[in-house]
Amino acid sequence: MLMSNSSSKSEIIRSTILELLTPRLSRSGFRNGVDASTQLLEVGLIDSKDLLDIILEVEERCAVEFDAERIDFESGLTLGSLISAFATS
Amino acid sequence: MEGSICDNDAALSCNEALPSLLALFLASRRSYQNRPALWVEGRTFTYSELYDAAGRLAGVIRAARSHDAGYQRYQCGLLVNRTPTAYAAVLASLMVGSPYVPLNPRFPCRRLRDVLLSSAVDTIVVDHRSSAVVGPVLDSLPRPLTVLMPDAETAVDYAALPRGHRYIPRGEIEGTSPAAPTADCSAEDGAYLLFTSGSTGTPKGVLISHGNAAAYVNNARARYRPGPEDRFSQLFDFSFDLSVHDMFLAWSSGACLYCAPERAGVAGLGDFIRRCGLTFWFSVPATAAFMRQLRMLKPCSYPTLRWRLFCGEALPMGLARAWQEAAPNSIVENLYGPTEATVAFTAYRLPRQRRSELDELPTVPIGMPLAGQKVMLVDDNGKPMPDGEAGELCLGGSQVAAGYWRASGQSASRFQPPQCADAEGMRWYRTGDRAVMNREHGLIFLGRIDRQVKIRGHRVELMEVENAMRVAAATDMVAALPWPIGDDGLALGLVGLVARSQKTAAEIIDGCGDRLPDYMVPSQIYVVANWPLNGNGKTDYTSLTGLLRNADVELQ
Repeated sequence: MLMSNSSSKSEIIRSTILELLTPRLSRSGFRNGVDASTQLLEVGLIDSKDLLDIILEVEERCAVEFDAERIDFESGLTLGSLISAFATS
Repeated sequence: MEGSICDNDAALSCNEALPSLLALFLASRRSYQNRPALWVEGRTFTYSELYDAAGRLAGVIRAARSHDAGYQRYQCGLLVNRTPTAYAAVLASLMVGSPYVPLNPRFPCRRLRDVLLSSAVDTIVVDHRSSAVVGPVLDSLPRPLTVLMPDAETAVDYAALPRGHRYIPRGEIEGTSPAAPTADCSAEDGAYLLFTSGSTGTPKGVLISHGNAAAYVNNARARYRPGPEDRFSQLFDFSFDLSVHDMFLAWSSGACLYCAPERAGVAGLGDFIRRCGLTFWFSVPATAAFMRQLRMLKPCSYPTLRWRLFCGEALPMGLARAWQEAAPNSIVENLYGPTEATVAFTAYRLPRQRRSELDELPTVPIGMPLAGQKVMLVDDNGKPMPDGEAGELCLGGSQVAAGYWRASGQSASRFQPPQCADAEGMRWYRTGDRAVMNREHGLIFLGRIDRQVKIRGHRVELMEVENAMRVAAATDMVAALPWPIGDDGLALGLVGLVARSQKTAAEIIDGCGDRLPDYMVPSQIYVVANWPLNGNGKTDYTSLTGLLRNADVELQ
């Protein structure tokens, strides 16, 4: 199946974030894996510094820019919302 | 100005200086009972609702203590995150005349048990976000506690909780008559007891009295003139005394406190400021630096803000200027003060106009003492330095605590007056910070005279980290250093260095995590092949920092 440029970019961002989360998963003893709705900060998987590291790393590796204005402070930060906050077009 | 002493004897322009934290809240409750006092977890509580919730908790605490004539010497522990129960519990403690003792549920259980054992806590309040740690914290505690669980349904699983303590769930609390506030609170009575990092490996307690706390809040009210239409940010945990500023400056003026949900972290703070229409912002510079790195400080991003206050660590000048542009209708102030001198002791208002002699400074000055407080720069012997010369910063006045909690030896060495007649008649605290007085901008912070650092605003004694590392690594040759250093010059975290160890990095890090809060745990452990020593045979920290900078060390 053909994917659009933006959806393939999203997939690259997703796999990059998951790769960066992997060592943190084992470090924090988080055994349930991460899905699109896992609250990354609330479950203690990452802290603010980890978040910054991940964002800067994704920006560099994927040549995209993080847009914090797309983050809803009440909904929280999930894998899904994090991917959506990177401008892909 | 005489010698290096500098005071601020300006009378408070605020006519309503009140004697205690509770009196500040109660005055607003009388005037603004149906106005919002608190927004937390998506819900708004009016002053009346918050007072009623606190009164119910106070009623239970008082009833549980009624058999003990000496109850007034006890304290209330708060095992809470930022939840509705937490704020009610702060007020409930004050209503029954007990200092509150924050127990940060994110800290290791071992540390929380140390705090409980050091303090005089007889009652703890637990909220719904902290119930998972109750068991490990109370397990094997040698004295019985009353445990209020206002968020727990009646059917608490007592079998899973340590025996010997009395657990009171929601149903029992709701059936208790609210208590009226204790009337006999004096300025010397404790308001809160906080524990800070200690170089001996044991946290140091600082009991802040109502007189200390009210002196600070009354000063801040006169300086910032908040009103009932104001909306305050609340980003700090209760174990960080800057939370006292947020709560009681807001509640002394009929304003509303807005608690930033932690689920979106720093990335959600821009949305938080805009949608809540905040007018007061208070954070550590590290939070502001994260926001800047995420490009959240674009010009005119936050037009509702009137005040942006920073405290907890050095504020880089470039960061302050970036905030000034992001919130053009507000005033930037840099506050300074250790826990021992109650929240903040000096302040500097950053002028909007850029001036080369000011903007060339790496960090924003810390300014002049608040009203009624004094500062003095002294040499190693406590004698005042001549004008214009750097020295150790000493703080004197009504905001200075009486000493460390049950630690007379440590108190005697730090709560020392300078050796001069001008210093007589008030309490003094030697900060361990170096500063110099600039005639135009006031005090300029120059760094520490010991090995204390700030990590994301938290005070960290590197010796305490090293003590934990020695146990975890089973070796004596260890060092903890602030690393990496961000673009703004702020330390982003800590790393550990060891000469050699049979333990893996993961074991050392986990071992430290059992003893230390997360911000004190080294993120990485490096092995140093040739451990550098100075002429006295002691670890040469300058050389170790050089090895890190040159990447001349290996990951364990």
